[in-house]
Amino acid sequence: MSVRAGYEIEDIQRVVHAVIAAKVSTASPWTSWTAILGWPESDVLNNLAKPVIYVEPPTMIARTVQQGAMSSGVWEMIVGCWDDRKTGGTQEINIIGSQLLNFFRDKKTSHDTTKITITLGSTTYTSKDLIDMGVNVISIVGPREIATTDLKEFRTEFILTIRN
Amino acid sequence: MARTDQLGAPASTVYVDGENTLHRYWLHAASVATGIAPANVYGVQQVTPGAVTWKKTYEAFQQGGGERYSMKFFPEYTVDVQMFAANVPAFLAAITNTTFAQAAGYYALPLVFEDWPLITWEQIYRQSDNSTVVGSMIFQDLKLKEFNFQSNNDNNIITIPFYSNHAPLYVDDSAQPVYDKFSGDGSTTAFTLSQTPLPVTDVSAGVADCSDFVLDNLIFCKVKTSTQDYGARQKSGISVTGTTLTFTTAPAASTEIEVFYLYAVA
Repeated sequence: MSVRAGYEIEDIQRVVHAVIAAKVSTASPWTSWTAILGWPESDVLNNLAKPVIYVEPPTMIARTVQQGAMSSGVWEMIVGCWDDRKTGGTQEINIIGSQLLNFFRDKKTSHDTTKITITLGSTTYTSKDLIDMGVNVISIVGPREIATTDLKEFRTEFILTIRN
Repeated sequence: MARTDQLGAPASTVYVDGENTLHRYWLHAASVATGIAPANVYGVQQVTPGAVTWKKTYEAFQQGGGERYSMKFFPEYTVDVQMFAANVPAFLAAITNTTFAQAAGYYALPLVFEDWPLITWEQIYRQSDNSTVVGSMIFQDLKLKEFNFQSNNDNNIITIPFYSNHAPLYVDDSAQPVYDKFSGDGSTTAFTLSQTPLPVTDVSAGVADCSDFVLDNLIFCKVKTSTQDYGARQKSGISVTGTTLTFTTAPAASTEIEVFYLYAVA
């Protein structure tokens, strides 16, 4: 369990972002996109040539318990897709969303074979997977379409439910 | 340890969800080979094993004597497997070693079954990466009970009822089962197992007269003649040293020798 007690919001967000970042750095068609930690401000979007997948901080929605003990958390977090290039049309945003859905439904790929290297606090974890980091994505739902000011931009969001 | 201790929060690794559990079985009617591959089971929704009950118990005592001594014989428990209706016919045909396929010219599968052990089942508990094994349950020598197909409005799930007269086992994640079958020729007494059997707790030490359970770390060793429908468990007359299974008396010609045991995960 590598997500630090007392730092869960920060650490869970960074771990999930790291896993998606690992995908976009290696696997086609993911290499056509960029992973962003947190909300992509306009200056960030303007500097990127690719559609983005942004990973927002998690929100605790429930807890799980064992008797005589502290509780652990069930979290929801938004992972969004934003194609601001005005050239991809609906097809690109649909492909990004489908790949996200399929990635987290494929538990072996998302929780075992996709490895990350990440530093939490003063500890660097090398070649770890989601389970090693104490993050279990138990479901993904979506997409929910988000309105954009430009009709040629497309944006959707998914909700991950996570045990930690 | 104090009465006011507060334990730590449950780790994410303690959750074992059914969606991550793999079910597979070894077919007892499989051809002679070593390291026989199990078959994965598709469409499983739930597996519900019942607790072991004893079909026969005795209390031994003598007049004027001390406390009574309890003896138990013949464990029995049920294992209900629920799966998608569409997966049931192929599964039944496979475990009963029956031909049921349009291509083979067989268009119906009778839902009556012989009362003998067909398969040994393993349900493998895994973490949510579908990769890290937590442990597994073995239900050995499952016999199929009669059942029928119902129909309901929602997703049609069929319950396939099994039962067994041999103890279920919980297996550590560092061990896995293997099923070897050999042919007897009337003269060979030593057979080479495909793996080195790991120690298994002998419950006969704790449960009176359940001595058919473990013999030299084999979960079972059976010998089946060509006229028998299923093998007879060997309760004596065999020994295992390393990977060598030795019979005191050579199994007869045309017999099949079935051996089921655990070996270490590499």
